Amino acid sequence: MGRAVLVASILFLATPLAAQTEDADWGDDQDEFGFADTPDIDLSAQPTLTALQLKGFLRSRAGFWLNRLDEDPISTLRQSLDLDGLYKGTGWRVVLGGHFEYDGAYELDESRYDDATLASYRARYFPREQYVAFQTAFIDVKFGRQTVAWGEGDVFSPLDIVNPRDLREPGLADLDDIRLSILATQLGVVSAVGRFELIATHEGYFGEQPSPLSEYSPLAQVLRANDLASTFLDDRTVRYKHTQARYGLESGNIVARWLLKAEGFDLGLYYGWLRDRQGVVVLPEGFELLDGLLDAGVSVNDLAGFPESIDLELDHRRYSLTGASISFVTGSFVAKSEWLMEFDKAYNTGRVSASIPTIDIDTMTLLTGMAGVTYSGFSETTVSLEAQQSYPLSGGTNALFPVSAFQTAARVSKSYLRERLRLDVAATAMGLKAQYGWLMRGGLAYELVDALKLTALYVHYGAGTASTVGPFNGLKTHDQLWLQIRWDFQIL
Amino acid sequence: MLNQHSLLALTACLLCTDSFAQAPPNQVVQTAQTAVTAASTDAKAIMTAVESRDKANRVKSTLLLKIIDKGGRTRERTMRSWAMETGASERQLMVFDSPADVQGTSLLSIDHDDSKKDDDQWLYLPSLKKSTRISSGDKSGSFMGTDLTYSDMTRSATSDYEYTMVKQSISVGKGDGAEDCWLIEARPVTQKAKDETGYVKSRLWVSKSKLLPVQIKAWVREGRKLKFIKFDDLKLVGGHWMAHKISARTTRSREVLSTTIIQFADVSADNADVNDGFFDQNAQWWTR
Repeated sequence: MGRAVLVASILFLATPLAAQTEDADWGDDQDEFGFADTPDIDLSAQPTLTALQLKGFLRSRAGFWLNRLDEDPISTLRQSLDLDGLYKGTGWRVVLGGHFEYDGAYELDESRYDDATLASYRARYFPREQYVAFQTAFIDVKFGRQTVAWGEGDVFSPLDIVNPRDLREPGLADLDDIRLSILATQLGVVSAVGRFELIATHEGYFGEQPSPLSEYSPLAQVLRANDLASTFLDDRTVRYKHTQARYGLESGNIVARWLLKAEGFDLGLYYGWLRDRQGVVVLPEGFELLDGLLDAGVSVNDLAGFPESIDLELDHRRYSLTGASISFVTGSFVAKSEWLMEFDKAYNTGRVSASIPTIDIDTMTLLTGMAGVTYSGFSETTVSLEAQQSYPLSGGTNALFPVSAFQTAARVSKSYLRERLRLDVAATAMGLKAQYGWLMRGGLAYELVDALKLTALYVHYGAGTASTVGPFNGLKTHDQLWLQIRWDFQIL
Repeated sequence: MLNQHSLLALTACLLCTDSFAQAPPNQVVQTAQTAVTAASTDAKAIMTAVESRDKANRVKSTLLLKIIDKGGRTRERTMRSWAMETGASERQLMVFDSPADVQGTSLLSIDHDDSKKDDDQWLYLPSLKKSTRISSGDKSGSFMGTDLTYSDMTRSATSDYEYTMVKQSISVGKGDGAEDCWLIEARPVTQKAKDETGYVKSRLWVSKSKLLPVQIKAWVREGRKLKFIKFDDLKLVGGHWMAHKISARTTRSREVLSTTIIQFADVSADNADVNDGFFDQNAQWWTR
């Protein structure tokens, strides 16, 4: 995988270098035809910004499972509409945004999906930012649904702790779709020594995961570990159920950040008292008895009395963290780093390779470091690398998920045809040898006309070799090709 | 459309074409460092005077860009721009208004006069709700897909070039608008200048009355292309000459590969509200 990225990088970079020459014997010194007059731009025809702005974008996407073209070729047929309204007064503003999506692929053979998967992928509405804000030169207050991007990393940003994530399609979603808005109150204070932000969130919204039996679920393979379980689940739906109530004082988080953007560097200090976004799995009472039932030779018919809907409980336990971030520029490089310490963070222990998984819960103190560098010294090209490592300082043994896996990400972006055509190649891996899984994606975006863009995206998953469950667990026949067209528009 | 290095305060372009207060033809024009007359023949002295001339400060403007490719297809961009010279640095802010997919994207740039210091730049992408520090990176790359590059937008150090007087007097323009110019050839002599400009050499038509380039022809190393840049619609703003229209063409073997037209509107200088607080990178009011 790394080799592929390297080769790709060399190919992109080699073209302009090869074309360079010091010879200036081209073009007649007296030939000045290029100075011919150009037409004026009609200034009166240009759009003007008003206090009320309304804009959005329409997106159509078709995706194909490349490993199953003969039997089940369509992975997605998604249409989406995003609308954003803004009204700006003097010292205040109101923002109202929403996202609607419908995926026709889930109509093609509805019986293949359990109810939770259909509910998660077929038709969705997500509120985007919806808030009212007041601001003076030094203080601003914002209340409502907000999206807040913290941290310095582009791929790995462990300090980006405010918003829940949309992880239904790992590695596929556009970056600007991943953060989901959350109901919160934000206070910002600007002074000579930086900006201080204090945010209290008011809901227990932990984001969107692949439903347990969906195509992208790392648990699907575990849950269908044997024929009996698989047959048992065929007629049932499995969904996540969160222990915490969606709304309530107990569900919210309090997070704070001080950020100084100074000459030569940006420095941030962070604190959080929050509920774990991922959550730990809580097995239902009596689950361990299943093992005995299996040993006794139980059949699917014996389990017919089980309810058709099974809840997999996720407990988002509270923990606290402190952290710091820094970024600085040297020449064509931007260096970025984040460090954080998480205290009393809950994690699952046990193993899932047994016929019936054994899962328990423990807590740990976790130190995490992220370092990255972005280089933009090549013509029309940006190359970035990021790495992240966590160290359990206490606890962390017998973890169900690879909590201390070394993670890396690489990305090369290059634009052609005066930025009309853009190529992005990215890869990420979990584990030094990618043993917990890896992903590579390559995208080519072409701007047909202003604000109308056609994109082709190829994604390859590596499921990994370790028995521990990773994010790409079970994604063995999930390579995809996406074609997408996006039109951005402005109504007001 | 936007990559990390291609966004640059285009106001610098405006600044590089402005001049000190209007002076009649053939009068001695003097800057802080040097003095030249219409009879001057020292190309380096003239270019030093061009680079060190006084310029408009606390400038606001609206920019309209049209990019026309070889097939005649056009792309348009509009943005607002603010710029201020502090004595130690040049601060510039650009906010895109159209097209819709980049609306709200902004770039704050602090270009330190001390060349040993790296420039400070923050790019705000509204789709990500994030303002991140970026590097100015590849200065020979295209600025926003136009025919201009980052290095076209910034002042250059005369010590990085070797200048030759090609013609002592040459007229540019027609009728009353004709400008008596020096024609000067500039060759980068440092690797830094060669890398940043991407030019093997360039020729500048420098107005004797306004002490600013009105035309530039550049030999582009990559692809053996020619670039023609023309500054039109010169107007006095706050006592300084400013071009309100810039045209740039890239050609190869007499074939026009692309054309960029940049038109400035609502230009004003010495705006009291364009001050230190306006460019405060910690407040970043334009992101809120």
